[in-house]
Amino acid sequence: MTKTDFESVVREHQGMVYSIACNFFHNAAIAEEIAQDVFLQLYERRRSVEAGSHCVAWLRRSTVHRCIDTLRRSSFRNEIQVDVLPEIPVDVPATDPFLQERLRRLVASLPETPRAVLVLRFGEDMDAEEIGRTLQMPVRTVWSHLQRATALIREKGARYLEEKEDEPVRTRSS
Amino acid sequence: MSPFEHDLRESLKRREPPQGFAESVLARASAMERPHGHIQFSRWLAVAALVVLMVGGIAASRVIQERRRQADGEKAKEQLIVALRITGSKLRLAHEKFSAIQQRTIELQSQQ
Amino acid sequence: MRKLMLAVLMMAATTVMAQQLDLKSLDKFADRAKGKTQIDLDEATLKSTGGLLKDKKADEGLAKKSTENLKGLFLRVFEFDKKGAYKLDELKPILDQLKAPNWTPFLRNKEEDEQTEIWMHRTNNEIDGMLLIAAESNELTVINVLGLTRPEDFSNLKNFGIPNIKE
Repeated sequence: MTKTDFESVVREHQGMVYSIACNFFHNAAIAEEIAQDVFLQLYERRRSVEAGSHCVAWLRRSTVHRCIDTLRRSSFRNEIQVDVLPEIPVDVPATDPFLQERLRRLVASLPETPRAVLVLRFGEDMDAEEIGRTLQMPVRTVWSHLQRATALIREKGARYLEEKEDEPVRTRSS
Repeated sequence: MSPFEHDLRESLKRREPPQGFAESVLARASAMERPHGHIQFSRWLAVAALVVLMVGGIAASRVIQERRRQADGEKAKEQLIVALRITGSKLRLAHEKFSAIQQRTIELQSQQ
Repeated sequence: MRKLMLAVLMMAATTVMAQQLDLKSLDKFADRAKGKTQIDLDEATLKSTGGLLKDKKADEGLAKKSTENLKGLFLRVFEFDKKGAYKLDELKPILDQLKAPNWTPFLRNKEEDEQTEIWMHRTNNEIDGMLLIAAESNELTVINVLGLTRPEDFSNLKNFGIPNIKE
């Protein structure tokens, strides 16, 4: 990868790298710090990373691993435990900006591995195989994390909505 | 796709970094391309930083914590200034209404 | 002596609580609003944020001056798409709290479907709190300010945000 290629890569993929970190920590300052470090690491290894899909996979992998490492070393761990939950067939009603914020916070409070799985699945639209390659884990482990984390988020998100529903008429916000 | 999955996707959808992010990365990358002596010194610093990180990771978490505190402080300042602007604006509006009422009272009294 | 000190402290704590209104009843407007601003700055937050403000920066210097004596600022703004999205009656839970002793109306103005009210809280005849309600056709603002013991506190707040023509 040339220096010109590197500049194009930064401009094209800054959103992806930043978003993964931002969704992981729900903190813009930390996300920016991590995103910068990932690109600088790419710059140092640009001769061994090809532009294109190889580079995208490299960026995703590096960002997620850096997020996980940072979380493990730092002290802001307010995780909730992902226990085995019963099936909770709750349908969460339509889009609500406060619900979205609540969902982001819930995702950012999960333990590091289920958190990474959810961010890659719903933020990056990756399938289980791609997630497994990125996180270097079997596909069945990816599915297991996905099911448990999704059920937990669903339950806690639905509880939030029940607490909010104390007025007679709910209007749909755009 | 269920409404829940839709909401989760919406909440985790991509967002752009702050303006100037790419320029900042490119500037830092250029700064890494220094003459030999600088590279040696920078590498020494990088290795020293890595050793600190490997030993406990405390330095890394403190830097992140300090950044977080700074970001929180900036956010708090911004909130305060927004709150003061709104308060000032509404107080001025109320003051205008008060002045208009006083003026009307004075006019009525002078007519009597 | 210790009992007296404790009584004074508890009274001071109660006084602060009396000036501070419960704004939870306004949460119901959030679902109907196209935009919402909620800012809660208690005394500790105002002090720590005030410490970060730089005197030399125009806005920040004035903000520091405006808030140095304040003990709290709690603000809710709701913007609605259209008129009639809320009724003035729905503010009853807030207005009921103003029936408490020490709250007196300073300004109450009603025009068509808009209402502006400013209430002052007094302790020992000294002003130490304010509530402002600006109920406009498509915007509702409620601001509760604690502190405000000097006339200049009030005018500093009122003048915040006026552009300086010289700049």
